[in-house]
Amino acid sequence: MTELAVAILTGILFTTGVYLLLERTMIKFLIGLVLLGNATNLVVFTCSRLVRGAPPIIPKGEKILQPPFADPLGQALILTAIVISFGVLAFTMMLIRRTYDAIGSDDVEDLIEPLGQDLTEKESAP
Amino acid sequence: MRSILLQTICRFIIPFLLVLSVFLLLRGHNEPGGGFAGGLIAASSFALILLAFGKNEMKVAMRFDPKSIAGIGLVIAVLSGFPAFFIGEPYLKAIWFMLPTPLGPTKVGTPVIFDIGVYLVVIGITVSFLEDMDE
Amino acid sequence: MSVIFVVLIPLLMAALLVSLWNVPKGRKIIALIGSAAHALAGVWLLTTVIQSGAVAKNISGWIPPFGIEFRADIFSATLVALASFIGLCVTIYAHSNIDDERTNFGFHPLFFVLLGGISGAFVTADLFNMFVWFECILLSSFVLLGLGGEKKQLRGSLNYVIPNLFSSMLFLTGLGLIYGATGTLNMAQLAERTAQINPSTAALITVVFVTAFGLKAALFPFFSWLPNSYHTPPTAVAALFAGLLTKVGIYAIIRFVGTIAPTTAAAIIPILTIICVLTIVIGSIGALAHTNLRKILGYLLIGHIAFMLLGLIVPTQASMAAAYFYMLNHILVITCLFFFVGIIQWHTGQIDIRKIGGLQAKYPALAVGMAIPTLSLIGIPPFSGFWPKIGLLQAASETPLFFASIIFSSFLTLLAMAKVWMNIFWRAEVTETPEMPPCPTTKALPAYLLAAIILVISLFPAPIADLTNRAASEFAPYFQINRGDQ
Repeated sequence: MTELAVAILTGILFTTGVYLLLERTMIKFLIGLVLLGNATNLVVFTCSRLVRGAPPIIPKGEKILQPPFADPLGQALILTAIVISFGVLAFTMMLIRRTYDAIGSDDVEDLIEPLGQDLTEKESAP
Repeated sequence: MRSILLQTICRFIIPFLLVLSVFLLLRGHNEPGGGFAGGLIAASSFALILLAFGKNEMKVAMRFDPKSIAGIGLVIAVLSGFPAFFIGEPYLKAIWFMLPTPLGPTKVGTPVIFDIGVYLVVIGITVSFLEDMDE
Repeated sequence: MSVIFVVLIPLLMAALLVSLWNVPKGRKIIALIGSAAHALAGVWLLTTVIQSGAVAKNISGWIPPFGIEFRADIFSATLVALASFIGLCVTIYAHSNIDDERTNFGFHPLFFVLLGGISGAFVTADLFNMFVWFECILLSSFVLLGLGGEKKQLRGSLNYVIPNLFSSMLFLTGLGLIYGATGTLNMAQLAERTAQINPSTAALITVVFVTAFGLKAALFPFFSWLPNSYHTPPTAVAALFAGLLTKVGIYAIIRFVGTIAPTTAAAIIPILTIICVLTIVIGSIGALAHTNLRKILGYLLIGHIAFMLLGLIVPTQASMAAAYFYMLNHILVITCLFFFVGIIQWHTGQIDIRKIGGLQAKYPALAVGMAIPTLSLIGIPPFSGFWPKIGLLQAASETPLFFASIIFSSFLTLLAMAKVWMNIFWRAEVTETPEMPPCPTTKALPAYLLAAIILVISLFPAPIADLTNRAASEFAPYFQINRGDQ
């Protein structure tokens, strides 16, 4: 039952994330990215089986984990993914800041290269 | 306009914070703590210096360029896997040995060296981020 | 051991270069030494694998699925060796190409992180570890693309960032799904377990993964970011990206469908055929539409990428060998072409072919040098593009659509390159070009070196053909499963 609720939540996050990803202002794009990252983390979390109140700690005196326990590998995957998305987000934020400084507007439409402009503007280093 | 209240408190707190961060670093393997937590607390002490005294004091307190510290930490972390190579085990296998210290034999190993590397990386990256944000 | 060194050396170099952030003096020399060491490690790995078979190592002694395994068979090892060699060439080219401003902002450490990520993605045998290396590649390529901060770089950067970020999210979703369905992330264990799960779940997971990797590999309909972003960075960066990054996506698709989930291939092969055919057709047509040399090369890159998936579409050893040979050849050819375009830009200061002319008279060596990779790209005998293309045509004889698209693409590539050639080399000089000093050695050396290697491969393709045959034979389970069905 909880899986259904989390699945619906993931669906909502994916929907809003992709919708915001297609938005015109760059800040909304950034928020969409955050939501998308959260949605994927939730997918990984749900797929490693939701277990209530059973941390993966070996009890005193035992040698191996006693089932049922929450899956530690899934949690490690999510941790790695969170750290990576944090780095990516920091970079994207700086990129958007720099783009705003360069073109003076938050609009993605102002970034489109008119036809043939790649031939007239200054070329990159040979 | 630097707050004198903050400055006075910082003079007392920052040494404790730094000692706490090293304590968390060394404790990290079997108890809560570790390189990340220790590094963040050390970086927060530098953030306090930034807020209380200013950017120049933080640079002086930091002695070295934060990016260099991050790089050195990364080198240490990568090199901590090498002792395993010399013994014939796969790279990054944990080698533990007993070190005779004045407090009695202590168990030291390559994961601690790796954690020290992570500690330096976290300090370096967070402080360089703080430096740039202060512009 | 070499399998670990090949990933460790670039990462160690990157760490070293970061710790020497404020010391600009020895940076380029250290980078050169590092690239050379990496290339040597790649060659060492390749020779080890050729002599004694696949090499596997468990990192830190933990056994899978809790531990990460690095495994290099001939398929991966050749790609790693080639990637490290291309990295060395790009480092030499970058000596005169990347200006001080970019070097001070960390071009060299990022370059090494990129190489480390590429090598790691090729040798890893754990799917999540592949995700981590993909993210290494992604982040360093983001910054490399945007380095310089002019409006042009920022635009190209955003064009590149958005699809690739989405592809990582898809990759992660697929990882979650496959972990939930099978309980492991190690490729060998996945190969056993995907046969046992519900076929429609397996097909869904394959679709998610192929979409994620297809975004990286610039397949239809996810390819428009490539020509819009590869003409913005400096030549060294563009050559590195063009030569290696899309191939990592293709490698991931082949690894996934070929090794991890061969039972799902029957579901995905029809879609893959249509995607590949459309990619080839649209890429080749796009090359005709532009006059910016870099954009033409970008579209040609797209048009040829899809050939490499023929090994999956027609599951025979001959077709996989031909597709793999094509991949190796294409890496060399496209990097070489980007280098030559950079040299042309150095001499003339232009990138529009309508404004360049008369280079045959002024720089005949350049014409000869550029002719070799061009003819190889088109696939004219006896150049090195011809041998795999014959293999591809033979293999595609069962899929008439693919066969027709190969021939169509070859003609259109010929047309596009003929148009470029006529404009640049055979016409009289059109615009007043400022007198530039002669091309620096660090630019000319990698370009002509790669051209010489392509020439050698053209005249003596047999050793490479043997190698690719051996690499293709490693996919025997895939051929068995899918050939038996048909």
